[in-house]
Amino acid sequence: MTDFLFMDKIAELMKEQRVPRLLYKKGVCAEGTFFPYMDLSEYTKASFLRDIDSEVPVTVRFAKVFDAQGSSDTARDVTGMFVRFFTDQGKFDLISHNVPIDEKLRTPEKMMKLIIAFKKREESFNLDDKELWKLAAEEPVYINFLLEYFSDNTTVRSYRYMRSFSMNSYAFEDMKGQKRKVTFAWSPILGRKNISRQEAEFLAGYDRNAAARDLVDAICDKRYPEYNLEAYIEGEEPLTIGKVRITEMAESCTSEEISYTPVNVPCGIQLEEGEFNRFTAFAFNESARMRGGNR
Amino acid sequence: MKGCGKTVEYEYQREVLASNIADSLIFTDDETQIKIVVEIEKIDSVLADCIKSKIILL
Repeated sequence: MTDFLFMDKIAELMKEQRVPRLLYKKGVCAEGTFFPYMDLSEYTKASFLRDIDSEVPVTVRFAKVFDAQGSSDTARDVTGMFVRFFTDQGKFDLISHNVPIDEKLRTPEKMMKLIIAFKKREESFNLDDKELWKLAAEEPVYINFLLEYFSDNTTVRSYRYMRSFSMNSYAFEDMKGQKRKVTFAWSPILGRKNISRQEAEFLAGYDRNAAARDLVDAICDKRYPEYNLEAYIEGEEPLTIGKVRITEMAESCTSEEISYTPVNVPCGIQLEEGEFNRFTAFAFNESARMRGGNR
Repeated sequence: MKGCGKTVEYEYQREVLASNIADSLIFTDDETQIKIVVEIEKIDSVLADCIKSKIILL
């Protein structure tokens, strides 16, 4: 092999294979628009939340947290909803899951233990049941999470009916520099709907991409999925501050390049100080760096 | 009777949840199963009873 140009071509070809994600491997990406419902000048200086006429382009990725590529959409797993707002003040990545993360689990150590317990074993691609339940038996702080995990909330037939809760807590900063804690949740306008374990098992064999197909079909039929964005501002009643409408599927190669990370926040919204937020910021950033993705 | 409907729905969800947990617990050892049910009992005794009835070993 002395043809260096040819070797370079081989090397380039090899580089096209991206480092796979550790989590959130199986996902589907779509695009749409965010429409704010109200002027939030009182709470934040983020321009896209102060101008009710603004329309903000977004990409949305739905992904299963622990399952591998090729697994069934309806198999029991936590599902993530990643939304990137392309605001005029920069990107804002809002990462959420259909299972809320208990306040007591919001420490790097607890979260790492949870991820390790739920990670599939490499030799069998299955959960290590013993390890998982041992964790719950020895540290009851995980019980609430497990109750959610084994409920019908984690067998998802359609992303259009999925509610999700932001992983991180943020702070709104207003023009005077005053900060207020805020968390977010996405609520589907069609309402929340899940399927039973029996239906999930049937669909896993019948159509393993059932949820992705449902999303594509709905968009093709112009039944655009919509989600209200709820803001839980400290000391205030919950506010429905806007909605996202998904209108097209994203090109797969572009969408897979995107690495969502909690550090992408625009002016007026900050990640709240805290160990858990710092941990997630580092973990998502590190994953993005390793994958060479577009942060 | 709105409240009644909600109770029925909640009971149904609890039954489903108990089945799902019981199915999964079968793969663990007896001691862990007992520990788990005891912990769940602290949160929801009806749910724990529901799970117990589905695990023959207990």
